[in-house]
Amino acid sequence: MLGENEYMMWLSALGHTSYRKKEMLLRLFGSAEELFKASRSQIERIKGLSEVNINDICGERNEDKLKKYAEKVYLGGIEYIIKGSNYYPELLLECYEPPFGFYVKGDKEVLNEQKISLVGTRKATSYGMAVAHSLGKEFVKNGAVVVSGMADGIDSASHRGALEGEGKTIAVLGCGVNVCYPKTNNILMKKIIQNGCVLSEYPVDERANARYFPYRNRIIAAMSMATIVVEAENKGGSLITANLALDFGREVFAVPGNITSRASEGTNSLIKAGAGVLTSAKDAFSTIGIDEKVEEPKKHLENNEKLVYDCINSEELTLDEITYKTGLDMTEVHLILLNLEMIGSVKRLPGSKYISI
Amino acid sequence: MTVCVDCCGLNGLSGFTVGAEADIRTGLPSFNIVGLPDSSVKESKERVRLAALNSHINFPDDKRIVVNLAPTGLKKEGPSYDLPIVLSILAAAGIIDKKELNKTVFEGELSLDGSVRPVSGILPMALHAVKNGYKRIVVPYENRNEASLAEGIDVIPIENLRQCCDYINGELQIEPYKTDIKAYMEECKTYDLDFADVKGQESVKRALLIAAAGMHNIIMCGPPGSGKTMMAKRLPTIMPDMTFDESIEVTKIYSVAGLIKDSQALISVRPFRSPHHTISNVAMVGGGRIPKPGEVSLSHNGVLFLDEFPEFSRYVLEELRQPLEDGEVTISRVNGTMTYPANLMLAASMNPCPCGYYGYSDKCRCSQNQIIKYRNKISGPLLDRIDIQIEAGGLDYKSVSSTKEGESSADMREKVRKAQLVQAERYKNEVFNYNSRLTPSKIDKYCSLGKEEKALIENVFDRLGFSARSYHKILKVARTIADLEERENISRSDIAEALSLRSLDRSGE
Repeated sequence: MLGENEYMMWLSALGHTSYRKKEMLLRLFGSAEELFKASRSQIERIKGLSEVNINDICGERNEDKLKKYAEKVYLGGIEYIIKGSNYYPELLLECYEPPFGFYVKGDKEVLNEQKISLVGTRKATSYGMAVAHSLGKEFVKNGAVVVSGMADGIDSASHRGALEGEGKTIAVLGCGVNVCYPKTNNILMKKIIQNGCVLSEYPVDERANARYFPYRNRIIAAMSMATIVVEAENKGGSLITANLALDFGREVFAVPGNITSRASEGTNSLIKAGAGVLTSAKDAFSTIGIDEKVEEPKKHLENNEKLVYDCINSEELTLDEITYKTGLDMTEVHLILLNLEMIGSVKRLPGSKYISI
Repeated sequence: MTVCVDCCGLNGLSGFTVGAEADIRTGLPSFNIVGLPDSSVKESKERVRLAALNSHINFPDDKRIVVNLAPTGLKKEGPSYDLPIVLSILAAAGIIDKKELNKTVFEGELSLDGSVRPVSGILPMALHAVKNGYKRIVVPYENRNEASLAEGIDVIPIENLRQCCDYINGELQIEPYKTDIKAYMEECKTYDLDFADVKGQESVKRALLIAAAGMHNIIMCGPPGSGKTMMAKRLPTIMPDMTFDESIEVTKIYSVAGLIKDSQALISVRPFRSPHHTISNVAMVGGGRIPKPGEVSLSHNGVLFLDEFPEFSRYVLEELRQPLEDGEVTISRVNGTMTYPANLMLAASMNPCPCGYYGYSDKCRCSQNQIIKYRNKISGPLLDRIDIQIEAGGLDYKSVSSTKEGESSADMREKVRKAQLVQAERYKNEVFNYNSRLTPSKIDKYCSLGKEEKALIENVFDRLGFSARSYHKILKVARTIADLEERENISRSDIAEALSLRSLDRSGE
């Protein structure tokens, strides 16, 4: 049986009719179902519709085809959530052109939890990746769901951090939920579906398209009360997201970076323009409405472990430098670093460098 | 009248006896060589005739001459048959004493003026002659050092055809040439390079030490100018000296490849080959119409260094798989199948990304895709054969300009030697000598772990995202580290260090 859900899938997939016209039609006809069943002459009578719009609407009104599509969607474990559903996040209604509905693959319950958006450049530095990773982890540890866009770089690192913290995460895609873009993230996408969900307003098999990405950014920005830009160049999608978030009345935080680093130009200028400075996940807790959980007591470090840990504390160091600075034997340093890495106190970066977290 | 003169042909590294039979009789003047000669052997008739005439020897020009190279089923190639051919003709014509040709092997290329030029492959030929009971080998003067490495045979160096004929006829005495092999081994063992020249990069030096101790293949990943090549070039200096038998093996390969210089006839230092990345696959593994050894065989018992590893053509890299696995390489062509030894240690270097600076400097603008693509040029199966992956960091001015000397090659070599003795003792009942050659079933036998160590490695695999296939490599390398530290059992710090030598495993997902 076809219901409003399925007719809405049809309506939102129409590619040659603008959002505003769709909205107007919905107002006039009351529901997508009525519009679907309306005769061509009824539609032709409406003012403001062009020839292209009318053909777009009347051309593809095949119930069998829609049924088949919907069947496929549900068999794939995908749900379609429309405005008015319990799972449609209220915050989303505050953005411009809130989606008529969106597809969700995975656990839809997470849509109702406290969320935080983490965004950033695809060409991230190892610093940005490490920060995104640890922020992702820190937020889920304190009960928030991490929202990002599953692109390369910062987005992926944020998702990975959330997954590592055994928390939930949501990826908002610029393609259908059955499509993995970029392809190299297919393992990550599977994990996200198991520990949260991916969502998209585009038909399930829609291929990635350059113009979809900036458009979906409004969803990322609107879904949470705060958007954190980890690293961004002077122009790019992450700054679009930040601006959108401001438009919707959300808080924007930027992670400061080296003033010489090109990947931090965008974030540093956001700070200059008055964005919140975020140096720890705690800085955003009150904005998104979560309380800091009692921190696990730091594991007691033994003498040499502490020596190594304190030595790394301030900067990125290579193994050779750590050995040199601490004056310990290299074999011992290996074991200490491994232990520290396992308890999560230091992180190894490409280039045999270590930073403390 | 027919006379047979013995000489040697080569099939890979082993020789076979060839008899040059000459028959001279009256008839229409002609000169033919039969018995599957290749074109360089066929051309020999012009050289033979003119060399004899220019040496003022009465060449039987007016006779019908047939030379047969027996056995006729095997292909003969190269110019080393010139001397036996001309001698067989001269003996058949009664110009030289054929009785003196018994139990003697002759090798040499003739030049038109009658002088005898050096040929390649003398050592394997001489060794073959010794094995088959010959008492004497007549070789070109420039090959005398190389031939004298074969013990148990008199080496007679000759400079020209005239001299050779006089020697056979007893008109000239030539003393058998002898070299003091021991002195030779000692004399050649000096290196111009030393690890003491390397400032900083202690962790890479340590990795190379471990690699040399267990003969593990190693790949160094680092930005340009971090000293990867400099350090790789010093690898042979920390490997224990070759034994005489190993030296002979290597010298045979070089001899067949025609790379022996007379001044340094015995290859006594471990080979270090670093072919350019535009190398073809034939040059890498060996080949040709009649297969010749390639770079993998030329680095037998030594180091094959491949700089800019991902820049090599994919086919070339994939062909390394068999030699790395089996320690030898088998090449099949229409003209024969040959197996050359290729027991080598592979050292490779690569940049972390196409521009070279990923992870080391903000200069890097490579996208994640480019980096993945660059790294994927090295296939999984090939990477599987490389036990140690080490990242070489960039160097700063402080360490380069420091006056503190690094550890010297001699000290490092001593450590390697000790560790290899430990391994030799442990594996005395096995077919292999080094930890790197351990197979999974042997790993369970020789790399057993205590409770604590097992717990550590399990924990690490769970939490730090190592792939299962790196498990065995980590154990092998940990075994070598324990051997270096002269510990009987693998300890936790050995495992921690071995884990840090698998850096490429972790940079991905």
